Amino acid sequence: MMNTNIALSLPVLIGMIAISAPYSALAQNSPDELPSKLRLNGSETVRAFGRGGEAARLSTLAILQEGKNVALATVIDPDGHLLTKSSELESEGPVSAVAPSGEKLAATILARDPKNDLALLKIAPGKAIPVNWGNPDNLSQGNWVAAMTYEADSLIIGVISATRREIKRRPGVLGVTLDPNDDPDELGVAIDGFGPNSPAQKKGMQSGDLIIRVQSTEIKSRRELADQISQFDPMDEVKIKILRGEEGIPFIVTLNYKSNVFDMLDRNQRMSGKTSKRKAGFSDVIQHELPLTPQAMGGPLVDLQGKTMGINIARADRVTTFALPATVAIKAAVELKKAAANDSQ
Amino acid sequence: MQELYRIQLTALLFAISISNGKLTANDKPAHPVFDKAAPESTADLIGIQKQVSSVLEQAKQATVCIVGNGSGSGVIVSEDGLVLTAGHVSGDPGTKVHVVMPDGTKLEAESLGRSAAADSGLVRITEKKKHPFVDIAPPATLFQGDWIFAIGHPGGFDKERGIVLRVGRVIHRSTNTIQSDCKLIGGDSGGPLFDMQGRIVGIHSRVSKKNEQNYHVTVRAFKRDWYRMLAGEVVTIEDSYAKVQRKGGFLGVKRIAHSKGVQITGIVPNSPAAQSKLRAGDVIRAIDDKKVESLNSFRTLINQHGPGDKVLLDILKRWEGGTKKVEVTLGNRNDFLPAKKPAGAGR
Repeated sequence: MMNTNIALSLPVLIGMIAISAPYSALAQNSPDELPSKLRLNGSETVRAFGRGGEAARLSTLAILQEGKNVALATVIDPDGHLLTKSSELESEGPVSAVAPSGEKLAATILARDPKNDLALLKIAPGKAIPVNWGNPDNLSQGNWVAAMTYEADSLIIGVISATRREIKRRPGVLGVTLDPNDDPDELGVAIDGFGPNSPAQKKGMQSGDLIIRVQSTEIKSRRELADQISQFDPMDEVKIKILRGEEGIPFIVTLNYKSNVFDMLDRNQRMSGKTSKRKAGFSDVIQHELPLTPQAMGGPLVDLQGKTMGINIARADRVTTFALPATVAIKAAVELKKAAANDSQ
Repeated sequence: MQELYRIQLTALLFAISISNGKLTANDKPAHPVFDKAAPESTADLIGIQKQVSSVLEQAKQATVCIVGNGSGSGVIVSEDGLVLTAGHVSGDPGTKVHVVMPDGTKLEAESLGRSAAADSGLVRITEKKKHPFVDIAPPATLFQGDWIFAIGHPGGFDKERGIVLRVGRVIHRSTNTIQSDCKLIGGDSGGPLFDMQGRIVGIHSRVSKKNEQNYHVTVRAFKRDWYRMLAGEVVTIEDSYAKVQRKGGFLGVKRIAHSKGVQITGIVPNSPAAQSKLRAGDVIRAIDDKKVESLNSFRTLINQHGPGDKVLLDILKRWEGGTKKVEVTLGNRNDFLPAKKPAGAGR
C-alpha cells in the first residue's frame, strides 16, 4: 500500500487534495516505532480494560445476512431479544447471529424503528447474556469506553471525544448535478451530471434530461427541486417526471444517502475508509473515537465497569463514531416490543 | 557545535516557561501508569483518564479554529494572541484569517511566517485583548511511548459538538515529526498535541491511511525557525538547516537565559562589553530596539553585525537597579577566538 500523506486542513474546493510530497519519506514504518502491543489499541493496553471488556464480549453477537457480516447486535434480555442497526439489514431475508460461544443461531427481524435506525431481532432464549445498562448522563469527555470489532472477536478501546447532542436529519438524494445556468422561470431543470453512485442514473436518467415534476409538483427552478426532494428520506421512493426532447418519461427513483452517493467527492470521507450509510438523523448521540467499521454498528458501548452506556449506531468518519445513549435504546426497545406484539396478533 | 545548539535550545525554552510563571520541570505526572510499558488494570486506565481531564479544560480554552483558505485548527501560546498552527493552514504570510474561539467568537488575525520543511506556521490575533493561552513543552521532554492527547476542530467549527478529543501514545519521534495513534482528519491540521501535563508537544499536520499514522510537527521544529517565522518569512527546507550566518561582530559577554532577555554571567577581558562597563548580572533586554527573547535571538541579533558596527543595548541593571541604554561598537570575533591548535598536535 502506498503511504500517501494527506494534509489535514479543509480545502474550500472539494476534490483539491494537498498531497505533501516532501513528507512521504517520514511516513514509512521504521523498526524503532513503539511496538504494536503497547499502542492505544495494542493487545496489552486493551487487556487492561479487564472485566469491562469481558462484559462487552458476552453481550455482543455478530449478525450475518446472505452469509456476510453486516452488523453487531446487543443482547437486551434473557428471552433472546437483540437490538441492531436497522439500515445495515437491507432485506427482510433470513438473518443469522453468532453467539459469543461461536454457536450460529437463527434470528428473525421482529420490528424496525426508522427514527433511531434500530431493529429488534429475536434468537432462542438463554443463548447470550443481556447487557447491564449504565447511565450515560455520567459520561464525560475523556472517559474510557470499549466495544467489539465487527466479527465480535476482539475489543477496541478509546475515549468519549465530544459533546452529546442531536445529529440533524440528512434528506435523501437523487444523485444528480444540475445546470447552474438553468432559467428559474421556465418549466424544468436540466441535469448536467451524476454523483458516483447515483440512483437517478441507475434508473436510466441521462445528462440533458429536464426534471419537470416531483410527485405531483411542477418544477421550474433548482431551488424548487431541492425543496421537494429534501422532504424525503433515503430509501423513499419518489415519482419523477422528465422531459427528453419531446418525450415525457416517468420514473420511480429510490433516493439514497447523500454520503453513499457523493462521499467519493468528499476528502474527509476518502480519508475515513468505509463509513455507515446512515450517519445522521439521530435525536441524541454519544460521540466517541473507537475506529470501528460500519459492520461493527449495533453492538454495546461499555465503560470501564462493563456497564453499557449506549449502542453503536453510526461510523461517521476517521475520528467519529456515534452511539445511541442507553436511555434512548431502552425506550426504543419498549416501543419495538410493543410493535412486534401488535404485528403478531 | 551540535552540543552547544542543543543546550541553547533547552535554555531558550526554559526561559519561556519561567516567563509564563510556571515551573516546568521534566517530571512525569505521579500515577504509576506513567512508569509502565502499558497500562495493566482499569486503575491504570483511570489514572490516564484523570490526568487528561485535569488539564483538558485549560487546553481547550486556548484551542481555536482558523478560517482562511479552508478550515484548520491552532493553539494560542501567548496572552497577546500568538497562535501556533500548521504551515499549510497559516498559508502565505500576511493573509487575513479569522480565529474562532471555543465559544464561537470570531477574531481578526493575520498569518505570519511558516516553514515548508516542517509544516510549522504562526498566526497573530490582531484584536488587542488578553487571550487564554497554554505553555509549550521544552523540546527534549517527549519520548516514544509517552501518553498524549490531541484536540482540534475536525471537519470545521461545530459549536454544539465542541472541540474533539483523542487520546494515544507517541509511536515515533524525529526532529521535525511525531507519529502518534491520536487519530486525525481534515480540519484538525494546526491543532495541538499535548503531554500529560497539558503542555503543547506538537501541532497536527498530516495522516496516512492507517489509524496509527497521524503526524504532528515537533516543538523543536517550531523553535528552530521561530524568529524567521515571527518575522513573516517562508522558511524553505534548505534555509532551515543552513548555518546561522555570521558577519563577525563581537560583543564579549557570557550569558544565560532570563525572563526579560539574556543575563550576563561573565565579560571577556578587553572586549567591547568590558570597555562599555557591562557587568555580570546585567540583563540585555533589547538590541537596536529589537526585543531579546532568548539566547537564540541574542545570537541572531548580534550576528547580523560586522566588526565596527554600532549597536544600541537596552540594559536592566542588576546592581544599581533601573535601566540604561548603551551604545557599543562591536569588535572582530576572530580577535577573541582561542588560538587553534595545529592539526595533529597535542594528542
